[in-house]
Amino acid sequence: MPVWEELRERISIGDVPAVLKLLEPLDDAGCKEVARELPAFVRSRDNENFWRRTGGVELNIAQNTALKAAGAACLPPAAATTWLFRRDLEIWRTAPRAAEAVLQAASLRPVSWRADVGRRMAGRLRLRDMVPWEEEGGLSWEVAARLLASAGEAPATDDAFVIGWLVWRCTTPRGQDPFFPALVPFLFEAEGVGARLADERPEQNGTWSRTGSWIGKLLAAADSAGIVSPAGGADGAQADAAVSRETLLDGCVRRFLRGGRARNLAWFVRLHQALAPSVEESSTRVRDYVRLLAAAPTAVADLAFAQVKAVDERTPLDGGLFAETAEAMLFRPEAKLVKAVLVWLDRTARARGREAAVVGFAAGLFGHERPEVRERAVKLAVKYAAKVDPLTAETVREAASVLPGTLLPLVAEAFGAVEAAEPQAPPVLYAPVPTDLPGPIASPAELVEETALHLHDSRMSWPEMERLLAGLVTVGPAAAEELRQHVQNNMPYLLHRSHLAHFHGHFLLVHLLLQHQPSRFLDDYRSSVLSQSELSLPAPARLLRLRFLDAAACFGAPVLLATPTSSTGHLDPDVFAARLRTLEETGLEPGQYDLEQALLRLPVGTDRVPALDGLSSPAAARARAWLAEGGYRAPDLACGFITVKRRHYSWSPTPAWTDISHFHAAVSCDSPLDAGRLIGTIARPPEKEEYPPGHHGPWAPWWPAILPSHRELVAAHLLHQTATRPYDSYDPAAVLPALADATGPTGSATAAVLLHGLGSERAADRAGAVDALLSFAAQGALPAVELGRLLPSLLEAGSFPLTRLLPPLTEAVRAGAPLWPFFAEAVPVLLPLPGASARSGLASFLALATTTAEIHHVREALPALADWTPASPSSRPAKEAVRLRRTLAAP
Amino acid sequence: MRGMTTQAYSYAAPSGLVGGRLGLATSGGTTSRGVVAHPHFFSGVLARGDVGAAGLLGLADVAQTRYFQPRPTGFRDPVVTCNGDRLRMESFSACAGVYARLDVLSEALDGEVTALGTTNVDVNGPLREALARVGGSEPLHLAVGEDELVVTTVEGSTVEKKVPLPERWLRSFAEVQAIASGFDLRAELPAAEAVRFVRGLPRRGQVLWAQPAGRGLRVASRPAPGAVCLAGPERLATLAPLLRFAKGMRVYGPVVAAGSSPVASAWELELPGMRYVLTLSPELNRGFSGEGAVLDALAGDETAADAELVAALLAFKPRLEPGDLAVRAGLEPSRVRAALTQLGTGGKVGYDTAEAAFFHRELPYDAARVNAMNPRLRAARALAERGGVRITSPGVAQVTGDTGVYQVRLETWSCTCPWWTGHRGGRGPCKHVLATRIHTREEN
Repeated sequence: MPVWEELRERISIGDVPAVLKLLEPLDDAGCKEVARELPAFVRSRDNENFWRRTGGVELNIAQNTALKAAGAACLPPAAATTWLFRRDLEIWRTAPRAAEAVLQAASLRPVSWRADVGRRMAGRLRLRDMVPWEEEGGLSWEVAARLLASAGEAPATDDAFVIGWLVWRCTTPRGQDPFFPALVPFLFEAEGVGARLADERPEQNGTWSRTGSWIGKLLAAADSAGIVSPAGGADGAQADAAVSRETLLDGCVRRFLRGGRARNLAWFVRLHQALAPSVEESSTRVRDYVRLLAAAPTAVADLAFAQVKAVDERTPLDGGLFAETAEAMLFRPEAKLVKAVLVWLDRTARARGREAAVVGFAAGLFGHERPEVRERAVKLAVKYAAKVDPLTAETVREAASVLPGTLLPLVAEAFGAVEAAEPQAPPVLYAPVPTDLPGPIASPAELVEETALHLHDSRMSWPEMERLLAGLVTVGPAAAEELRQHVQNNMPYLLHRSHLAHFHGHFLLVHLLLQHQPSRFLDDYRSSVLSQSELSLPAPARLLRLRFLDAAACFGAPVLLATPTSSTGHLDPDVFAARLRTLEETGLEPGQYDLEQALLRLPVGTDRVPALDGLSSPAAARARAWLAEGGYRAPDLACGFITVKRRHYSWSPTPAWTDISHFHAAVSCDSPLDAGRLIGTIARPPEKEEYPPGHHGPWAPWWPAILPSHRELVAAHLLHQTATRPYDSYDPAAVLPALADATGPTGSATAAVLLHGLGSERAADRAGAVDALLSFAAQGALPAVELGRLLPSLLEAGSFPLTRLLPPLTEAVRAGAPLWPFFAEAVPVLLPLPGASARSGLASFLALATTTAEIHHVREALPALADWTPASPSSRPAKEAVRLRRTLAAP
Repeated sequence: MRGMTTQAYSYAAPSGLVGGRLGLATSGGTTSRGVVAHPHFFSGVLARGDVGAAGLLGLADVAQTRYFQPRPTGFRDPVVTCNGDRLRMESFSACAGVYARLDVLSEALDGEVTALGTTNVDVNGPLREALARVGGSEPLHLAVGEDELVVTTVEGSTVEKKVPLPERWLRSFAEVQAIASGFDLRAELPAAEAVRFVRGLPRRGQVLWAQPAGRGLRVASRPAPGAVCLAGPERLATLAPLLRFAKGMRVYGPVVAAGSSPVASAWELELPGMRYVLTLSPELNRGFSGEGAVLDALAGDETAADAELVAALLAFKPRLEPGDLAVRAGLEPSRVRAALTQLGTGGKVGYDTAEAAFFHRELPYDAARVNAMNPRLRAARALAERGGVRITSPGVAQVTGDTGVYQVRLETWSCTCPWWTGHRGGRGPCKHVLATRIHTREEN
């Protein structure tokens, strides 16, 4: 039987040992024959529909193993490399066994072949395959590594090869790892080492396993580097695998200098710590450590600073390096590091005779944004005032002009009179200017385009939605044919009736235009609107849908009555009158909810009333009566905390209930308008909530424009959403600015939704809340006192942590929001009672109150601050409280 | 891989920094004296070595980062241009969404300019390490070009690097200058405010807006007049290590109004004698290559002759004044502007927001060919050729594409295709609009 025939048979049944046995005696001609036949065999295997015929994963793996081995035994280097990496020969289980087979076959080849293939394979490894669970990656690495080793070659130094070494030789004792000494220097060169080893951790007792962790192995290697052991034996092997501490320390420092993200440097930081360099070792690298201080990640800068301090303790740094250290560290964003360097400057000033320089650096921090840093800097400068030359003193006096009134006298006393800088006026806030909304959709082509746009992108702002709605009513019938064609050509699935049920209200009209027999669909929609409970369909959402139904009933009308004209959501009275007139002239009546919505959108508190003279339609009569009554009177809200039980879903068969406390606004109102009554009613939620309420995320931002003159009532509806499902059921990032764009009084409900936005987990929500807060403030409508009253209760209810609120509040304070009344209300309640510990973030909150008082020049006593006796007077909250009290009492 | 070419850099020796001498090795490029294998541009002193080193590291960081879907990526060497009074070094992030440029101005340079032109400079691992070691505010000897290579290698050996160069990366060079030329200065921050703003940015985020507030900027959730779009704040990360040298920051962007879609923006740190600029694409997942800002210029060919005339006058000038060029070329200023846009599509000009002017450079890549092969333009030409465009009513065209029939309005140059509607027209014309333009031009 010819060689290939027999081999083919054995490969087909996946008999690897037999294949290996057959490969062994092959001569050149035999190899050539096999090499020729192999690719054809793999192709034919595909053609035979391998999976259906055999159905065996095991067989596939055995076949692939045999094929790889055959390739290794017969192919020339380049072809063999490609063969071993073929994706259709992938081994996804028992790779070590396959690797042995391939290596056994390869052992038949000459040394030069093994070296060549090993090198080629190492170059083709991919970084992303070098993970323990990648069987094929492990196989390729193993084969490459052992080919190189068996050929007596040095290991490859490609990035992926080095990473593979880390993964598959981690537990190999270094004495048995021929690559160890050669590859250690590349730990500090290869990309991806830091990321791969980032999770390597010491044992419970803080030591590193000498066999199971790389840091442990490196430490052991460094320890044995100094020991001269007799040649030969196990000890000799260990000594060969020694690596000098210098290599390791240099490697770490060089890696730090190359930079990178904190996580990717963390392993090197741990290695450096484990090596614990001596002062002598650090002093040879002190220049490098200093260069790391300015821009390296926190952990690296921290480590470098520790080395610099240690070196300076032994032998003073030269002037240049000292200045560089101080400058770099004082510029760091981390308060902890800035404080650490101030402590160091203070401790070493006298011993090193650097008093004048230290005072100079301290003066550079007088304008620092953190009050505690400013205070420390002033204390430092004052402490060494006596040692300062006149020039430095002058610099200090100049720098001191920006200091707050509490600190300035301290500097003046030590350095002479300081001229205080002109107090700066708080930043000016600009209220958003209402703008006119774009004109109506004018042509069928424009309507087709707008519709296409919103069919693809369902996120619409309310002005877009209102414009499209009006366009569909007025131009829709004329554009129906083109619209249907567009949908037929591009989105035929939309025409299928079953698809329509998925769409929410504003697409209703589009579907009606597309359908030839719409009435049944319309009935379904109407009954769904009417049957849903208040919990699943809140009043604003219901009102919107009722209006969609009204709009659907008046296709072809020349105008849609309630379409707003201003970015606040208001409808211009003249436009309203003109539209009513147009409708009357055409003999049409607006739908009930369209009319009522239009009335709710008329501006309040202005002299401008719609000129309805000469109009006689019932709609005009209703409008006249409504205006005579003085428009919509928003009901009073009854706000307070309530507790409901929420069903907690789990695999357990018995239902679990969690108590949820939230701030709620209940309200009921009597209005001559159905729409007014609907939107003016919020019932208390049921005691037990089986399901969370409906999802209104994309549509909640439309709500403020439903009632543009009564935002507190809209806020009450939103409050219901915030409380039931904090971060999904509405879109704070968009809804809060929309609320601020509307008009009308604000109060507790507005304050509560604003706080929920500021405390949201999503950065976009917090940014939106700051926008809204500043907009309210610019309009003079910020409910600052209510914000301050509510904050402690919402923190207590666990709505959000105080720490999350700090960055957005800082933004708002710096932008000039007049938040002092907020702090004045909140601070006394947030100070912990005797015996209780301070809330996390309290110190920063107090610091922010100080900043607010400084910006707005607030001077008023806060008795609670004076009455408070902190458990520890040296704690940060206690210090910040003292600072706030001093600021409020400053001249 | 499709849309991919391989760029081979060939340097006489690696760049290096030894004993206070920084030698940047150059690869083949175009100079005022023609194409040279290893051009030599400058030898002299860089006044602030630490600033220059930190700036160069920033560029290198941008070049090897993929901000969208981060993963390790090949490194493309920065492009350096010697404009006579300044050196400009440019690079793009691997995702093509961030363009970074370091302009080293004449105040920071003291030495001899030996040629004008553009080429690549080698940046390697050991150089990065050495640059990080530069400190103190001492001057640094700088040589751009082969005369004073500080790292010696075995006689005759060269540094060869082969880096895959996606075509979209090349197209981005052409797009970014066209987009930046539409920017205006929106905010100018003193150093302290710049530091506060950059440090206070959220680590991650989609589209945010920077709104002038007080003396600085604040992050807002939505656009308003005067705001600058900031998409993916993590893309400003390379500003952080430079903040310690900053004298101020200028922020540029196009006009926005309430409700605007995300747009591009430029963030320029003023450093001692240098400027470091980052230009960000409108969204994290959008590279500049697809912004379509030069497609209209590419679709038309009426300016080709003008472009040739103007190209002869560029001479690696640091500031190209359309008025001056108009006089010298004997063309209307508007035609000069169109010609500059056309030249931009071939990567021959860049745009400097600080000077509000174009500058000449010759990219060491075949950018013109790549741009001519723009997939959107190719598709549009094919559509127009096979008669896919039909004017159905005045001002409205119907375009039959591969996947659907769409309507193009000529008044607004807007379309109903999913791509156009998906971006709301924010990424330039779609292939249907381009095809309609080509069609109507041919009709006329």
